[in-house]
Amino acid sequence: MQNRSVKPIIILFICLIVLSFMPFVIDPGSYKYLYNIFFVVNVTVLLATSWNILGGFAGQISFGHAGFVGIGAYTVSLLHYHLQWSPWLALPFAGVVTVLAAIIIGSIAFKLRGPYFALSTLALAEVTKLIVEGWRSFTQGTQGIVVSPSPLLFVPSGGGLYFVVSLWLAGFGILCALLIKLSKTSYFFLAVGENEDAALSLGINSKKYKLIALYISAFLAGVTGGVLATHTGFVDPSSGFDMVHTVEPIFLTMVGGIGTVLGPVIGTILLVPVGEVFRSHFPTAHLLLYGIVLVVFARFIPKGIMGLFRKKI
Amino acid sequence: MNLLETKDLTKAFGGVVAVSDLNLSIREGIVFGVVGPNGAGKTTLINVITGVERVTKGSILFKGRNIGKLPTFKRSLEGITRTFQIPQCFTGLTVFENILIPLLLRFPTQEAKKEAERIAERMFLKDDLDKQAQMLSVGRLKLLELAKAYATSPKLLLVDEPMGGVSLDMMDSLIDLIKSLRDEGITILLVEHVMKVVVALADELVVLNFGKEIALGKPEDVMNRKEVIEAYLGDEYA
Amino acid sequence: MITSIIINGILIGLIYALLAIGLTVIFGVMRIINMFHGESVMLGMYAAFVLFDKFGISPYISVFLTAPVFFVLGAIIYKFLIDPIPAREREITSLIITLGISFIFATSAMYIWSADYRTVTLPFFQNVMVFLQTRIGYPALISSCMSAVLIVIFYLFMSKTYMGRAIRATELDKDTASIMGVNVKWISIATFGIGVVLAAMAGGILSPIFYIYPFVGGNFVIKAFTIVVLGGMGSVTGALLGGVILGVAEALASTFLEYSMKDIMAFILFLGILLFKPSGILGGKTRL
Repeated sequence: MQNRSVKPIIILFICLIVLSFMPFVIDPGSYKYLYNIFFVVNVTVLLATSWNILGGFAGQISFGHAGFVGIGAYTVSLLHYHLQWSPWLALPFAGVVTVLAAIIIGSIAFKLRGPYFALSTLALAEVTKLIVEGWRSFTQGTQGIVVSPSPLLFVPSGGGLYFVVSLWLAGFGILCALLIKLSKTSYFFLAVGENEDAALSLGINSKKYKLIALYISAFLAGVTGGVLATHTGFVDPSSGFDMVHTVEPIFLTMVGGIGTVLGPVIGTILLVPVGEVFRSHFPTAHLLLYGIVLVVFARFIPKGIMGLFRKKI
Repeated sequence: MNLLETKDLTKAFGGVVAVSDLNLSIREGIVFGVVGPNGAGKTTLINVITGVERVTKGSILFKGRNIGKLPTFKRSLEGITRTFQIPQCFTGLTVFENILIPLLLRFPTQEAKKEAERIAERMFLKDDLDKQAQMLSVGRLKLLELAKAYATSPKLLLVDEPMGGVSLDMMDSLIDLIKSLRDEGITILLVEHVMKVVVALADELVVLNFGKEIALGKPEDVMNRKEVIEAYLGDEYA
Repeated sequence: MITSIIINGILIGLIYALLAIGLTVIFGVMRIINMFHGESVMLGMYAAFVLFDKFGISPYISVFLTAPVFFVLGAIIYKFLIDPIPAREREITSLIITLGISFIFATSAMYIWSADYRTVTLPFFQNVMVFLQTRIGYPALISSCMSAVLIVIFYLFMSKTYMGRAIRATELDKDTASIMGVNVKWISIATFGIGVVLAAMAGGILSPIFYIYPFVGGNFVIKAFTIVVLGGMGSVTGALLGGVILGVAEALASTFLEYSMKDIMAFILFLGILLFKPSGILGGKTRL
């Protein structure tokens, strides 16, 4: 890799390190609400980035990310509930289990293309939710599972801990996106997304690349679910598999710029704090806002904000 | 040894037999023409050779090896590439990126980038490098389609009706271009309708009708045969 | 016992079929998947509810009164939001736009009517008819019959009227239809409007039978999609067949397996057909 490509990674790490000191500057105990928003922003950046890797980089639009989030959330909760694991220990497993599920999901969904692929991911996410709901003996069904607040190593549970962890997770997601963008793989992703048959005829193993995109995306989405469950302290089928986790990454990424590394970040930073404030005053109004934004951008500004600047990263 | 051989190659779609018992032998380094009236099975032949369609009966041998089980992308990596009748370019990407992508699969990045520029120049696309593929005219799109295929370092290039919708002067450039590709050592299977092009380019020619071979040989010999004229124009003209 | 399950399955299946016809027609002509189809049904339900609650108009009549409104709504959405998108990107972009619209509709309904469950309680809702040892509720019976009638009317519309044939021609071959004098652009707009109307009418007809709430659309969408792929995209008779199959499958599943299996049925059929016979049970492209 040349020097040029290392620069964004260095910038990323500097940002992460600097931001990590925030809890020492602004006290999490006194600004609980603020830290809540920060946490949501971080987690949403992670989820939007994960969706973008599959949908933006590789052109495979997924309507089923809520499924991955739910699987991750339940992995952490079930390991905590049945084996008394600390949720922090279970977190990486949330990602792994979600990838395993993605192997099954991918083998079904990738038999289809384009809109039919999108629909089948939606259907598969719903089926997963129904299975979790129905398998009461294992998952407690609609009753849900409580995840007790747990310290991570020597750091007690609290706004500061969640902020820093979610910050670095988001950073990890962005790093994945960056590494892909800086490698040859991003071109093959693009080719497969633009015209799969042309890509095949040129020697690109489209199936392999679609699966790579899916697995990375699933891992990150699963981790998102896991950390969400830990933060909320509770998960049940409707919250774990909430459709919001499917729709939000889509429109945030579209606003920011689909297919770019910064797109999901920009979209999230612009809209989520606004949405959160909205939500506390007009519950569910924020969904209306999201819907309108999605339609406006998809129709008039399909390349998003990054598209207005014509950058590729 | 023949570069490509088909033995009793048959492809049927349900009840419709698109290609029937074809036995072709294509030597290295020639332009092998495939002609025939519409629906004769020409594009299906290309689809079967590249693996887009599975063989119903018979086999395909490339460099002596049966490639029937290889998926399309692997055949491309082996050296069999095709162009599409309606160019299948990456429309949202630039001309440069379109040519670069197949190169990236086979060369390190820096080399690939240099080679992409070289190929673009060779294919008269040097001034269009930064243009998005969807901005190109039909003629340039055809050139890009060829450029992409050329970038795969093909041993056997299957060209599917390159002259469709192309202006007459463009046609001469394309003819020269394809000739130069052959002279470089690429074996070309050319499916084409326009007779002037076939006669100018093909070293050998097969005429198909209803999926069957009805004539084989040098263009001048083949085109005057009774069966061929019959196939195209009907018996009154034979 | 089995007969009563099957009969009830068929009855609900007829209503499901009406649900799906709007979706299949839109898909057949424009290759667009309408993600707010379920919300169109939901709005139809609320429309029926409002007219019944405030003015006492029976939903079976009000569906015809509200039809023009829904037609215009659909036509406007298509003309200004979907049609202008370049054909190449339309398949995926329209998916996202219609998804956004579905959210807008659902949350607006939340605002206007709150999340409380509503019902349309017809005076005869308790009455039951017995046929072949099966107890059939009057609302279910009337709704099914009305669905069947509407389906037949729509079939005749598609096969006998100029407009209907123009739509089918566009479905089969846009360019040839255009050459033959069909204004493809307006046909597309009209078809989308029709699709929305059919969904809304199905909603109105369903209002005496199902609970009405803002997010009910989500349930109907998957069922509608399942029926569309079961019967073959673009096929009206396919939708009829698919609807009945789904209705009966659900009825059997809820009786012999568990009640909650009913909902999974639609998904299983959906995924199964897409994987094994994507052209639908009737196979073949766009048959009427």
